[in-house]
Amino acid sequence: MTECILRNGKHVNSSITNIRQSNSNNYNRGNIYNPGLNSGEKTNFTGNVNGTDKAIDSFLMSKGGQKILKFASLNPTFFSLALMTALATTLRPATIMVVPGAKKEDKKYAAMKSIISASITLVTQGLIFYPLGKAMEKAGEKAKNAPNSTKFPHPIKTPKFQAFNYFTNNGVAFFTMIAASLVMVKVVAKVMNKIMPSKRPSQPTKNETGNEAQRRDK
Amino acid sequence: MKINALSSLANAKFMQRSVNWATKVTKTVVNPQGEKKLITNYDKVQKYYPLAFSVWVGIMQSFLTYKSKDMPKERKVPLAINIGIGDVLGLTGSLLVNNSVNNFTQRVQNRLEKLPIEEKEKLHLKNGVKTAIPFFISAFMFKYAAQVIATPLANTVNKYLEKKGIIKYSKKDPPIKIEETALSSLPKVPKN
Repeated sequence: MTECILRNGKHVNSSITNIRQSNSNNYNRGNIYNPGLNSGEKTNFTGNVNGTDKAIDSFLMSKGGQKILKFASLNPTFFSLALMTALATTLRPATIMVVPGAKKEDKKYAAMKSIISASITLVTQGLIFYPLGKAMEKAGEKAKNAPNSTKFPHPIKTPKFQAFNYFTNNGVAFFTMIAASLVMVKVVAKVMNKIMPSKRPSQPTKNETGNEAQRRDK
Repeated sequence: MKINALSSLANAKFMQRSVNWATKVTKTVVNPQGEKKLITNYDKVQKYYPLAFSVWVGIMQSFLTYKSKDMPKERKVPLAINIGIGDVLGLTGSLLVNNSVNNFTQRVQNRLEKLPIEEKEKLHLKNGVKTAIPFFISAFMFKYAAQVIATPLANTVNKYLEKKGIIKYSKKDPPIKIEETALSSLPKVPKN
């Protein structure tokens, strides 16, 4: 797929035979390959490359790709959170609703569960795990700079510090998971009862007796 | 405050024991290039803990959904099955893909070193590749594809279970009724 797009973009006569040839190794692409570098050279600086490598190169050299990677390296937690919430609050519910094979009510429940659990993880990450990570970093730095001033035993980036970090983070995650999923189930039930009240037994109003309500429902 | 709490946690006996256990070297592995690599218990923990954790999350979430009193039974059983299936599918998928993802990241890093970019930028980009690519793929598998597949799959499982009589939507459960609107509360006109 990517190969075809690349080749079309690079003004190569792209007939089916050509694409087929390009998939096999005997087709030399050294000359036509121009990854769009700052210099307008048509020569290839890394020797022979295949299609996937081309795609990788064009991604790495593009401004957007570099921006994404830089953002990911500078703040990995925000990167992962942003991606996760974007996936779980927009794309996933939309696809769940579109994909056939389940009852519509079940789909609605699944989509709502996805949105709510994503927002709960957003909150827990922001309120618990981000501060915890920052505190861990600070503690490690303190231990590194002045070992006697603090009781924290492991300086940052030692294997012991890493193990301790892993244990605390995952220990906290293990127990917050219980509360988070309890909250998730409760909130999903409440929201769905508000959205689809027809699925709930209607209660008889004050003016009616129970018998009347039953008769009406039949 | 936080650091004091952390340091007291780090100095606790069980934590010191477990940290010492984790950093113990169990064996050394020699690469084909001749590089020695020490393997500790921590590596094993890192390998198997995410598996255990996601199993735990899946079991607990589906159990809590199943036990919920606020949802109607016709809805909560499929949802519980859905959560369980989504978890299992995503887990197995990401485990299957894991090796090739690692290879792919390595490949991207190798390509990056050959490209004409400044050294400072290269370090940043390398870090970014290391965090972004595995995460992106695992998020796609675990958080997106598996969950989307799980919804129709859960429906078929639910139908099968209903057919076999393992799950019964008993008559005691409140039947699905028409929503009470302003129109339905009006006095009814006899038809004839």
